[in-house]
Amino acid sequence: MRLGPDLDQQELAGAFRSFCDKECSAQHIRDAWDGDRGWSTERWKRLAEIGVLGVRVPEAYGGMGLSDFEMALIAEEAGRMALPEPLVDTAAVGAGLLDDLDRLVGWPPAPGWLERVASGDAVVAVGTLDSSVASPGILVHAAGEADLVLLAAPDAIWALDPADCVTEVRRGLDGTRRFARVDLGSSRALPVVSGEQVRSISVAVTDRGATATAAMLVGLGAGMLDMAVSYAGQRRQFGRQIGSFQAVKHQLADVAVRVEFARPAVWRAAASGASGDATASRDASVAKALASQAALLASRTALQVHGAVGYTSECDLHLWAKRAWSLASAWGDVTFHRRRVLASLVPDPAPPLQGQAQPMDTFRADRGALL
Amino acid sequence: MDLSFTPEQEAFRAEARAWLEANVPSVSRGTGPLPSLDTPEGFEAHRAWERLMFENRWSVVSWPQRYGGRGLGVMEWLVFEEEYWRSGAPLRVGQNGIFLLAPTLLEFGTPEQRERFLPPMASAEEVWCQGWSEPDAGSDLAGIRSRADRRGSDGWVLNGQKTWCSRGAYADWLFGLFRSDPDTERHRGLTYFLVPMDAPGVTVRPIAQLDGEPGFAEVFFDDVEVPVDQVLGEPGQGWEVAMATAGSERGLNLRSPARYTVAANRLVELWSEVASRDRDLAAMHADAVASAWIDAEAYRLATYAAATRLASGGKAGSEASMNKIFWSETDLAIHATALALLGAEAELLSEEGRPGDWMDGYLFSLAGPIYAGTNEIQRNVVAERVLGLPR
Ligand SMILES: Cc1cc2nc3c(=O)[nH]c(=O)nc-3n(C[C@H](O)[C@H](O)[C@H](O)COP(=O)(O)OP(=O)(O)OC[C@H]3O[C@@H](n4cnc5c(N)ncnc54)[C@H](O)[C@@H]3O)c2cc1C
Repeated sequence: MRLGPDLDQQELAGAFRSFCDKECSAQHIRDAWDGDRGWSTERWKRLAEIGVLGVRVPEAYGGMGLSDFEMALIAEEAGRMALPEPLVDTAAVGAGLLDDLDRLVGWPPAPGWLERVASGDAVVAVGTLDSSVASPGILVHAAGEADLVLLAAPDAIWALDPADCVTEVRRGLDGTRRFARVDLGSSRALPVVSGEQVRSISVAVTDRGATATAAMLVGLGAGMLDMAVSYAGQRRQFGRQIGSFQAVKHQLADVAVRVEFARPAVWRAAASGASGDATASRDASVAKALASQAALLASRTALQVHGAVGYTSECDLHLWAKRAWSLASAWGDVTFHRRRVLASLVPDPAPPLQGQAQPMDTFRADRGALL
Repeated sequence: MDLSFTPEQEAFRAEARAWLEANVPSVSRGTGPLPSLDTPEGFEAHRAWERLMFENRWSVVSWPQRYGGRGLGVMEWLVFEEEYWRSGAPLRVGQNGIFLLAPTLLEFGTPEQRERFLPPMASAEEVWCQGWSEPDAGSDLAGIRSRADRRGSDGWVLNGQKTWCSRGAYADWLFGLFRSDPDTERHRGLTYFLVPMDAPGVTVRPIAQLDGEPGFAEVFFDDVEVPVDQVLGEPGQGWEVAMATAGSERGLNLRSPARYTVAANRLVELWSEVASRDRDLAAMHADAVASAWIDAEAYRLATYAAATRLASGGKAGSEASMNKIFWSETDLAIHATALALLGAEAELLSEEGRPGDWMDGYLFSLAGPIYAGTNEIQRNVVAERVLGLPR
């Protein structure tokens, strides 16, 4: 039993942290907000150069051949610096799904998308559907900027050209996040695979999305905690640093506790996803519920500790907080994942859970109750 | 990452499970459940159970073999704990000694002290209680006033009062902190003593806890003579020695995750049973049930992550304070949710006047945020020592 990164893995995460420190300042994030896609194509190229986009692409396709676990370590660091690029969508969920399709059903024929992902030549966006009866206009993050849109339903998977399926692109509250409305009906495309064999692949899409997003949320939570702690050490009122007030200390201590206890759950989810454990879906839901809760608490507390300055868009905090709010509900919010955990623990779906918490139901659930 | 156990660990797990299944006091064999630990009969019955475990080398698996252990590592200890709580085995009457004092004895004790105290502690022939708190020194432990005065070259004399000593009503020995240098204040000039409860001058007054049973006691010291070899660590070094014990109390040692995992699984079973007859009630509490289970799982995983760090040479530090906040709140959430599912049924007492299992567990969980340093104190520690906020 070993739960946690080994030395090599710590080194990988550390190297990526230095990259983010250099290449992703708050000013860089602000620039991304102002750009027309919400993120930087140059930084995307550099992410490819340092290998991060190909972390979980097999070596045969030009990637590093590592797993969802290393991806989670990377995603946590990306979260800490609120990296704007669609890393989770492309390098975690997209690459994971392409890899599964390649290994399990032989699609797409090489050379193909996996090489393009690793080399930074393709952005992949992934959405999920409750059923293959196309619901008109689901929102898929980053599909507007993507080169390939993958849609996963319990019994079918589509690979679409955004030009054929995106009907509009909208800005999110977080200026780095653009959502595309994707209409399967208008594209009239046939799925690349369908039938029973798809089910486990599609469930893995939700699990991977939840886990990588959870990792990012842990990083965002830790980042916001750092900001609040450093502000509490500078700001003075009543002749003292506000961080010396116990009401402030205790709130920040509670954030530290929630963030610390979410992290090992993310490691576990990423590892059991990577090895296809029987509990992979439950582990992913445990991680996402804990990480969303932690990041929401961190954002709420960091805002409170900053006072009015935190309520401005001049203060950097909102760049992190808005990302956390968006990601806390992406790939299933706290309530959704709690239900999914409970459903996995009881032998038959007990009546109160019937019709709820379907594994595919990602963008439907309400925003977290903590907001 | 490797989430599997080694074949040796799995074999050890199987051995522990088999032994516990055959020996844990149980209704079906007519050997259990044991009466409350806080009654005289219950105390002796729990002592007998500890002795049986000791004779079969299950009492302290992580201790060195010479003291009655198996010399196993922290992972094996966690495996054993999982099996222990899974089997429905009773609370451990010796826990203050084996989980709190023993690590401190192993770190600060002389070889003679270890030989003298560890084996009878492991067999529960000598049950220990903790004498730290005083009427005027609770959270502010450094404010203790009970005194130790040097008498001649080979002894000390203790005077004063300790309180809230868990299991003090029946315990055989006490480990406690006394002010040995009257000219010092606060953390300096304290000494850590090992005191037999039957020493002349020791008076015990049991105190009824929320459940009505004498789970803790006040202990009075009137000119109690203690030889020098019953000082743990150096005289005056008591605070450092005590803080090592406190780390064990808050962190990994006392609070293995298994008890919360087991309670959380029982909560899910209860919920599932409620769901089969009262769909609305179950729907109302589904979120709370799931949240409590998830927190217990988070604690389990965090413990394995901490054990991984320890196994690769890291040291447990102020994170013990984070653990304490997390396990105590998780325990409370598990039990409070169970009571919500049960309604008034949960309040009913048995014919002997005992609360039911969930209520009993709830009452116990209410103490978690208070003992071992209140959660407010732990938040201070996390804020100042982990986050570095100004004092
Ligand atoms: C079931 C149980 C078993 C126990 N067993 C033992 C035992 O075996 N041996 C032993 O020595 N002791 C034992 N204790 C005592 C325990 O250690 C103390 O209760 C604890 O340290 C708190 O002290 P107090 O009760 O005097 O509360 P106080 O210190 O008076 O605190 C009262 C309240 O004020 C708050 N408070 C105090 N100081 C601060 C501060 N600086 N910042 C913020 N809030 C503060 C506390 O958090 C608490 O909420 C036990 C207690 C319980 C409930």
